[in-house]
Amino acid sequence: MSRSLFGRLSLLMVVLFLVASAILLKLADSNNENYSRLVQQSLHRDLAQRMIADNDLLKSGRIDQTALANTFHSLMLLGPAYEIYTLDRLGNILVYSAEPGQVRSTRVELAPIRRFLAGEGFPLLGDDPRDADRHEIFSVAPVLAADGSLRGYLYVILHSQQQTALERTFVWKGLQYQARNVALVALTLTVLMLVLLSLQLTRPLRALSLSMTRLREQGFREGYAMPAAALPGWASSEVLQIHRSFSELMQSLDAQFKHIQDEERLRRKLLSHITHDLKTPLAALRGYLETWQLLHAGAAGHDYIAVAQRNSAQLDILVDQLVELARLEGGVETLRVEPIAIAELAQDVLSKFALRAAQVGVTLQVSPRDPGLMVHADIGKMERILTNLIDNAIRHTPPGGSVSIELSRVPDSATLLVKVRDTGCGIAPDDIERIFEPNFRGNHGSEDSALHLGLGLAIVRRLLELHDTSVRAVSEPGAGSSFEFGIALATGWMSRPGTNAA
Amino acid sequence: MTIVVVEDRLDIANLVRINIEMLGHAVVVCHTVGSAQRVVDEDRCSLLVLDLGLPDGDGIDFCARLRAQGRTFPILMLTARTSELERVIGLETGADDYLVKPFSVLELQARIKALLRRTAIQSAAPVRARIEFDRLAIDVSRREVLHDGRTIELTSTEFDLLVFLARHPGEVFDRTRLLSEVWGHHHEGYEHTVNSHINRLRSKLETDPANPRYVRTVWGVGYKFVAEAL
Repeated sequence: MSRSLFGRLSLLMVVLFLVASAILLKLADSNNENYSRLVQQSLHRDLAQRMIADNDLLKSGRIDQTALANTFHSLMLLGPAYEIYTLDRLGNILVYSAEPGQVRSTRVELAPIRRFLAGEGFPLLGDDPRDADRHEIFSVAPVLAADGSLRGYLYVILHSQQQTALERTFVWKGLQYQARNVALVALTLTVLMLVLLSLQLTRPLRALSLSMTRLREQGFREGYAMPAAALPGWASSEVLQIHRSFSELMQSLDAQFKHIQDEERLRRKLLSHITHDLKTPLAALRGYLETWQLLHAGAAGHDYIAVAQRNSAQLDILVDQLVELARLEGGVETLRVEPIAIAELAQDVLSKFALRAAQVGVTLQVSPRDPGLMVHADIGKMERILTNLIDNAIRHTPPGGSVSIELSRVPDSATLLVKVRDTGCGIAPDDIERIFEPNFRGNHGSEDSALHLGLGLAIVRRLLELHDTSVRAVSEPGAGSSFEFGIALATGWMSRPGTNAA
Repeated sequence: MTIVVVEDRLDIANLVRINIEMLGHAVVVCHTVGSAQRVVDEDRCSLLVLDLGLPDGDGIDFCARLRAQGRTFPILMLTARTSELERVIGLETGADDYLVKPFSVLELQARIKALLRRTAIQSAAPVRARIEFDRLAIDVSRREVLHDGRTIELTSTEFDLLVFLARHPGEVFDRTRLLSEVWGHHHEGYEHTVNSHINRLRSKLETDPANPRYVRTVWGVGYKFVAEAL
């Protein structure tokens, strides 16, 4: 069943036209019948009277059954449309000429006869003696005796059964012919209607619908300009109205989109200006402190300067982190995903911390050492994630402890589970939920504790959210912690067992 | 050897000047692109320290212009983080190294020393035009790589990386070293690009990238190029 507007309307139209044609045909047919009856009856109004006048017996009011039957027989041969009867005063049938069994009734209703004689309008229908269910047009005249008294009637049915039977055989042919003509006309009209409909309604609507679909496919992104000439001038006003409204809607969407783009651009500019403005005095601060240290190593006040310098260095890191978090929160960051060798990357990140780990007596390792283990991620951001997690782990691990990165495949899925484990002081159960919040400050074990703001984990969480995944922390106070996240494995590069560490 | 510093903020300009003078070099400080161009035109510049946020022009454009003018002295750019830096590195505008503000002055000194040293070395080193191994042939001048007779399509950077590694077969380099040698800068935040390019190189060069034969990982140390066929 077609769902298109055009299809449904077409079907409806065709059905309606056929039904209308059938009704019209029927009406025409019955109208024709009525009309022909009128004509016939009017034409033969005086038939009965003339027959009486023409017949000596009837003229004198004598109803001789046998003689009349013969007369009727001859007359009916001449005029096969007629069926002639003689009735008595009460309507009982006295004489007729017919095969045995053809005439069923014994009397005829007088009411129509009286109406005929009263001069009422035609067509008038009277009983048909040969068929109790039928009423036909007739001509009737009174049979008067010599003294003028009513002896009976001469009743002539003007539409004989013979005629009816004949008509029946030919009517089918006539009907076919008529029906074919009507169907042709109906079809032509329908086609015309449909063309008009198409022009007026469905075509403009389809054009509109296409434009909408195209726009949706583009993601409503491109600047939209509804071509003004898309609609023919004679499209109906409702369609034009829809068209106009849609255009306005698209323009408004477009304007809003541009507005949002502008705001984003503004925000990015703002961020970069703020960054720049913060960085320059910080650079001067740090630079001069360091320069003084270089030029005046060992001078009085050196340790104060050292503290100042350390703090300014820390300030740098904090500002960097703040800016990074602001960028992530602002949705300005885009992801460039590619297959990356995660184990190798993890190792490289650990290498960055090798010196510092050695200084605090913490061992670092990654397993498995498989350069073929690949995941889908933005490599720069993944390095950042691992860096922050390892930095956090080392910070919380006392001398003699270890920080390890464990990579394992999640069974029955294309996900790699990455765990950054440490044997450090652990996280209190109350704090576990909050450590990823930007402002959180827990109990830290290292000497930088006073300077540590803890934005690193918030950044890790946001970066992982960009990758459509999340991080969780598992910890036992005093035993250690494990920070875990899942990341999509890159298929097609599955490493075989047995690594390739050279 | 005169080093030209282009920086409009007095404090930073002085900071840089003091630290370079500590190294024993003469320094000329300019506060605008215009004055810097004049000094360069006088042929007095052996190294340029260029800040990008200058009042009368875009530092990146200035750098590109200098290269177009045929100036080959090393250029060290000072940038603020994020978008600016990405743009700079992405465009490969011809700067030799980048330092992000705020920087450590020791780092500044080290980079300048390295840049001056590199200029000296580069002019002396002979360049081999073709490097050939058992199944691998690298034509440096035509920038083509053939493996088993089949040409391999490499990007410019992937090619440079392969050439550098192939020129030192068996020698292990960590990311920082590769970054400095192949990309020409030290920027810490961009070491991951080395990983990225190693992966891509392997995927194009190796028959089985998961078990590479040529570009191998030395676990915990770095990467090396192995010449012998297995």
